[in-house]
Amino acid sequence: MKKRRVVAMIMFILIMTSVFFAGCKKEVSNTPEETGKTENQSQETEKKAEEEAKKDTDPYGKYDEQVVLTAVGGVRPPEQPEVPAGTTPENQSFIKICEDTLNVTIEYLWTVPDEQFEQKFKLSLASGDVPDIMKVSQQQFDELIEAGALADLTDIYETYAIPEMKADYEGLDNVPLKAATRDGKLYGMPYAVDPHQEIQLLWIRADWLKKLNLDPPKTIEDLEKIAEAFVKNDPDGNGKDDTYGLGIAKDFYSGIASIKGFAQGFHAYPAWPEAWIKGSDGTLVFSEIQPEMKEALLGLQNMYQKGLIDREFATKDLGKVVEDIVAGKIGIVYGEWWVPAWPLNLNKDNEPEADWKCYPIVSADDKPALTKVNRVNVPAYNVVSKNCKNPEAAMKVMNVYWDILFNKDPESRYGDLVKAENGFVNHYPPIYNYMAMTQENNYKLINEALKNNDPSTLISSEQKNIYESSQKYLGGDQSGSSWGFYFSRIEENGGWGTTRKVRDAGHLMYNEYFGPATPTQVEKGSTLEKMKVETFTRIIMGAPIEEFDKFVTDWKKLGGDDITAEVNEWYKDNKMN
Amino acid sequence: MENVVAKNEQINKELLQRERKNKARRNRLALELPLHIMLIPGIIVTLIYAYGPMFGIIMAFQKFNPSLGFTGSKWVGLKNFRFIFHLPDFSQAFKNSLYISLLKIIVGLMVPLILSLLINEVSKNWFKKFVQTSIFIPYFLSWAVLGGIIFEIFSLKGPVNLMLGRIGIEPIYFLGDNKWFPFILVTTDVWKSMGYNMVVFLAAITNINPSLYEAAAVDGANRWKQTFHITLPGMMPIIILICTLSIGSILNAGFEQVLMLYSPPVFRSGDIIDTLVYRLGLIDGQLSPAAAVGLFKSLISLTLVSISYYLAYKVSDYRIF
Repeated sequence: MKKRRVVAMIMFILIMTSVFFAGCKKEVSNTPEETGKTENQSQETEKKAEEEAKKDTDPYGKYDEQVVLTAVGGVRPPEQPEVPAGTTPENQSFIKICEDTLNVTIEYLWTVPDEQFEQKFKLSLASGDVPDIMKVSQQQFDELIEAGALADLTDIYETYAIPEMKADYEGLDNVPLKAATRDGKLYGMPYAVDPHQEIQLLWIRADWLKKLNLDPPKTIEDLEKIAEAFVKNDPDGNGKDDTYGLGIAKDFYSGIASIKGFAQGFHAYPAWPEAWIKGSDGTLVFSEIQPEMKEALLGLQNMYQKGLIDREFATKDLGKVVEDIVAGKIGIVYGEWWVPAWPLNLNKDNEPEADWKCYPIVSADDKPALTKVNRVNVPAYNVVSKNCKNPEAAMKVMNVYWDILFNKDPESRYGDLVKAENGFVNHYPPIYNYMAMTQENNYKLINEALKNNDPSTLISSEQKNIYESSQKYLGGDQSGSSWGFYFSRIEENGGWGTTRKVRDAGHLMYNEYFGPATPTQVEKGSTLEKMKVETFTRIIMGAPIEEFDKFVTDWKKLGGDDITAEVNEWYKDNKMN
Repeated sequence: MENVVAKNEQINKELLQRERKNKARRNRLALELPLHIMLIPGIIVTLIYAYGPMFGIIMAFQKFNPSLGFTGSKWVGLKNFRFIFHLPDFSQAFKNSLYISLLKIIVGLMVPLILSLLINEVSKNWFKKFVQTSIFIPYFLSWAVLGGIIFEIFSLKGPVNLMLGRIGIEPIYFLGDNKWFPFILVTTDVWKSMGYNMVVFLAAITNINPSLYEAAAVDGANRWKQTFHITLPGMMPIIILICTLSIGSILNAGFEQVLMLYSPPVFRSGDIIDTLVYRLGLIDGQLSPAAAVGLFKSLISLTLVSISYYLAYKVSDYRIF
């Protein structure tokens, strides 16, 4: 009897332990991985020693054994029409190029549509699943540095970066590199942009203006009149009350359909990330608690009450507003120089008569409207995981990318693989870089080439693409894509052409802060941001303007004063002028 | 001597009885063993997905940094809890969660209850099945899909406002108005999930002994009286069960639904604890405070479930477990 009890007991124990171990399966399988990691690290140091012995410092040096870099991707459809359908990050020609020239291959852990990328990427970072190479936002960059997840690229940049890339950063006084450096260590290759690219412009459908006998706006007052006419006088002539005046999305800090350009007409500078402008006493102040912001919100409230802004803008995201633009329901929108290339081109495809024109932003008073620009603009950092076994391979991949896009005659070195029709898409590779002064260079070079009808002075394949598209457009091609290329980048009164004029007129207000997010910003950022967006949206929708004063007091009390102090502490050592 | 024999006999008898008992137990074990084995996968899944993540609770007491892991992150005690309780959003989110989910629980119980009673009275079987199925279908749709549909239905130019316009009511911005937003949340949620509880209630009704109705009919009770004196008391255990279970999730006001439908103008009526956690944890990357909010929520739920369980037992002598 006792025996039987023992047998039963043993069986019970067996079942329970098997259950227990099955439950632990995940952890069990995890541990070898972790031990593997430490092994890898020791292997890494050995390998490094070996490589140093080789003294291989060629920026384009080919590896004997294939090196694998892992990556992740958000997929935005290619801009160039020649790219074959079905081209994905996984089968893009850039990977083939890297395999051929460097013996480095890129493996995607996952790819998702661009809109979902941010969230998926955050989740994957939170679960400790960091790819070898990635392009990250400023916020992610700060977080990854704090987490100690990034490789130090200081020496790698010195040794491996090609001179052309170094020269471009030097052209911006190395400020972008400064922004990527913490405690003297370079943690990422900044994708730096000419800060003037964020100059806000006013885009209006000139065909509607013409139809309703209106002149382009000179002041905010004119703009309101035009908007009113666009809403009430049926500019699209379909007999239905289905047009809006000014297009604004609920996330109102984007490059298009934001409240920024309109507010700048009132000398207020809403921005994301926050803009810190120089106050009257020389210290930095937060732009969105200034009295001018109140005026701007009143202006928007007025527009909203008159029905010139979509009554439901607060529940419409950018995608919905773009739908309305494409469908020809919106006639005025604020945006940056590139909007003809997206989404205005889609509207033109849809309605060939749509004639979008571009104007500098207008002011509510006799002072010219200034537009806010950053001192330095780094939309993304190319970073390397500290667990990457060959961080210099990532640098080499960036070199090749640069070489293809911005050096002359890449075909001679990489063959036809660099052409769009063979699956080369500029924004598909897991790293991204751009000559900061590209737009300016392109504008000058291509206009010159078009005038002389001689494309031989063009350097990059991108410039050749734009040249071809422009020629198509000037030759009478009415497709939205050709027009978008030409009108955004080349046309004198187009996107970049107008941006240059604003820049040269000096109608700029600088955001003086370009440091990392301060400790209080990290802690209280989302709370303050939510409060701000809620208050502003409510005021535009008709809430009493006193809510703004309450917001200012609350903002200061709930951490804003601390942030202001932290920002000014930083400013003491980092003044630009 | 006789005494000893009698004692021995008694001992033998006892042994025999014990033997028999053991045999019966063995037989039962042999019979039930496959069932126990079939339990194992379920237990494993529960351990991995319900108990495994519990170790993550430790995050709530740390300044958690993903690349340092649970062992490497700094221990900060209750700092995260102090931080979240002082967040201005927290009390608002807490109030909203309570309000929205209380409404959801009450309406979400009443509507399926009434529906099931009504359907039970339908005598045409095909019609009964048809109504039952069409009420159940929305339960299977995801909020991501429904979100877009609801935006269209309740938009200023949508069908609801069109109908209101016919009877002379000015268009209402349902999803951008704090007065209406919780109402929309509750009605759409009840509409989506009422089919599930309704089926449970219908099952409870079929379990009631038909002879009770016959006896009542003989006693001269009409349909109304039968419903109140037989059907409802017969369903009571199930109603209490569902009530108790939903009280446990009183701070879950429906994360996916709110995330799909809320927007800046309705933050003050629609922001709930889960969306706060989402913003803290996923948007801001502050994992530790987010975990602290989650733990706080679980503690409240545990307390409430225990209380409601005890009350159900005390008041109606009904045990769930």
